[in-house]
Amino acid sequence: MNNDAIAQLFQGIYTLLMSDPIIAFTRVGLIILGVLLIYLGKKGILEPLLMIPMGLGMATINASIMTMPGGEQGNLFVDPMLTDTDQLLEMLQIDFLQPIYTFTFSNGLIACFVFMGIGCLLDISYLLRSPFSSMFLAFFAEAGTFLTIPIALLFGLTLKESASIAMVGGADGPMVLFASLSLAKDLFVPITVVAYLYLGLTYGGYPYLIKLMIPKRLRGKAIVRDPNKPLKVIKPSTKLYFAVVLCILLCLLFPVASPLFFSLFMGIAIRESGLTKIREFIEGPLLYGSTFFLGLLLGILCEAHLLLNPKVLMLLILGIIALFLSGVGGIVGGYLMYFIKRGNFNPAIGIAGVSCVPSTAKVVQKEVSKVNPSAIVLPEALGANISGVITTAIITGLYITLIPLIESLW
Amino acid sequence: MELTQGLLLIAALAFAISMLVSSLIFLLGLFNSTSNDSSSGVSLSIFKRIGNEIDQFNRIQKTYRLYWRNKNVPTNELIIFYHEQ
Repeated sequence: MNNDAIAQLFQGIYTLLMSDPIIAFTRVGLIILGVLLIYLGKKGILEPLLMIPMGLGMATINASIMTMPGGEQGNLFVDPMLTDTDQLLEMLQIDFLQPIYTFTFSNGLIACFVFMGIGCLLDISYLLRSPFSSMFLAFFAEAGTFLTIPIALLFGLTLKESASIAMVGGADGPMVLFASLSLAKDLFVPITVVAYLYLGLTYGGYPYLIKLMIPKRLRGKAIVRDPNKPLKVIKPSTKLYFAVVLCILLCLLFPVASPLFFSLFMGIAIRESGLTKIREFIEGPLLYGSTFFLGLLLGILCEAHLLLNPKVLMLLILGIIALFLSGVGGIVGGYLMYFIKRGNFNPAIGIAGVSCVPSTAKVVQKEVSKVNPSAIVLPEALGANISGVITTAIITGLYITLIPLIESLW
Repeated sequence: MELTQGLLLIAALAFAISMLVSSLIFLLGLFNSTSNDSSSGVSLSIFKRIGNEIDQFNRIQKTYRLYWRNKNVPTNELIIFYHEQ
């Protein structure tokens, strides 16, 4: 038995030594990054629900590259680049995660399941109490979604690719997945990975942005509520009608994003119509199962060959610019609302318009409480947060519909 | 179409649709009726308040009618009584 045959016994190491040095170093780097994600997830610095399956998936896929029967390097997990139907059918019988990728990930079904779960968790009372101010804040917190497009064009991306990466500014994972699938299918894997990696960072990064942009005096501002105008209790039937009317209206306006609208409002409708068993199923097994497989697939898709795209570094930079601009836009919106309401508003609430439900709302309350423990801004922050989801869905619909049109006219 | 124009159009449309959605939510909020429990600090919708006022007016009218009918006062006097009030 020669040395080569012995080396081939341990194919993970063999492929690492035999591959291009850039790929070999990237593989090692991604294995270390995967382990780091698990550590940060376990510590609670990043979202453990997503980071632990993603980290282990990332580390494992880069360790288990092998030589396939044809001689090329591959793995037994998934091949996301397959387009030929015969090859796809063959791979469905070989790669164990291929069925989940093909039937739930690449068609956006998993994003819709997550959205349905989010809908079941959303209490839209906060939004119904102050719709105008909530939607106003959410619109400003979309600054990154708009302003990143010209920056991405300067980086040399196409308009469709720019719009897809700019969606990271909306801080809504399923929306980014859906938009990039529709607009930039070739880049949807790195864009989605970047989006989910950064969504975990909002929890760690936004508190610093709040401290940087809002002086302590305003950060601790409590909202004075009129004792003659107590908080209105919203009946479940009103919330159900809201979901039905808005779902139909938005689907009429943007049929291309209707699966997402339908999923979100279906979740809300189930919650408000008292279908307890279905609600428990959607917000429990379905949501947790989908999040697990989403994290797992995102990790598995971080294979060195797939990520070694010259555009990935650009996407990493643009993603963080998008989230930063959205945070800044949200706080600017908060300041505007502070002036509109003649000082009876906390500008920090603005950043909750970035629709990372409910992380950004929690971040706002935490930062406000640090300065003034008696100031409760969570209801207003959650209203802006939920509006952020709706505004991101509206912008996704607009991008999917109008960006191809603008590109053809441009 | 210039790219800037296109992006501005998208931003304007997003804002307009957001405000349309807000208006819809506001209108739906008007139809929101809640339990008539003043001690819990729950405020009622405008329609519920108008409904309550009408109910109260009808109840007062009924009480007056019953009172005068029991005293065998003819209906026209009852009308005069209302006018004098």
